[in-house]
Amino acid sequence: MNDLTPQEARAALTDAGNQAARVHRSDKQFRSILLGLAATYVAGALLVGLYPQGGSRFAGIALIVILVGGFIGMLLLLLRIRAYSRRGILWFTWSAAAFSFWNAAVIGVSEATRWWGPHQPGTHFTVSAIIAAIPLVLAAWLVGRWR
Amino acid sequence: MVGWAVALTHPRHALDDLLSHPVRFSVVALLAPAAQIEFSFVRDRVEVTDSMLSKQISLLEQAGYLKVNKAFIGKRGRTWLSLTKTGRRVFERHLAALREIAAGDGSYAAAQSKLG
Repeated sequence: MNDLTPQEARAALTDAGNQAARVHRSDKQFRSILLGLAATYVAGALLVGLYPQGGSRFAGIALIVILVGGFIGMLLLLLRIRAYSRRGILWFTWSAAAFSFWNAAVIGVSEATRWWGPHQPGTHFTVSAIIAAIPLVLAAWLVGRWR
Repeated sequence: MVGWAVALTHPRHALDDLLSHPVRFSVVALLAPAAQIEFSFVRDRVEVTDSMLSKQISLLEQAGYLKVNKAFIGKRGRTWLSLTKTGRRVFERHLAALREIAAGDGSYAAAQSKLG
């Protein structure tokens, strides 16, 4: 029953490769979520950076729209995922961990040193948000790389 | 009584009978790089009917190769499939045997054709 010829074995291996590629192609949703998270975070930080001290009514509404829109968009993308590749989950987890670690470190250091306050220019916050987004963008690039 | 052990060296002996079925092989090959995949994704990619896929999944589940999880979002149910450790190990062994057969220099195929 298992007397396969080399040709049949090669055909089976090709099929296995094709099936694996199909799973990795579905990682584009992971990539979109990571890029969406990075874009939402940086856009929010830019807005806070531009209006650091209380801001304006426009800035407040725009910030809420960005955050809620980003959250809903990511949730919809997450619900559409039908295949979770092991590699996609790995990159997603590592990048989310790096993102959280950086944010926690910035908040911790800022609180401890009283460096981060209303008297500081908003660019500090924006720069720290851009740095926090780097692992997300990097993971999005890596996830999309192997297809 | 004289007994002797015959060393089974041909790679075909390492092939798994359950994975020799093309649909079951494709299902497991699709699940191998994944943490979990939804039923409809597998059905669409392997190009089989719901009933055919359910039947093959039952066989793989009974063999301990595959796990089935049902999740609900509101009223909508989704069936998720994933390979077990056993399934993953068996598939790796099956793939290694396939690679060995595929790497053959053709003598095995020639012998097969002579046998008719």
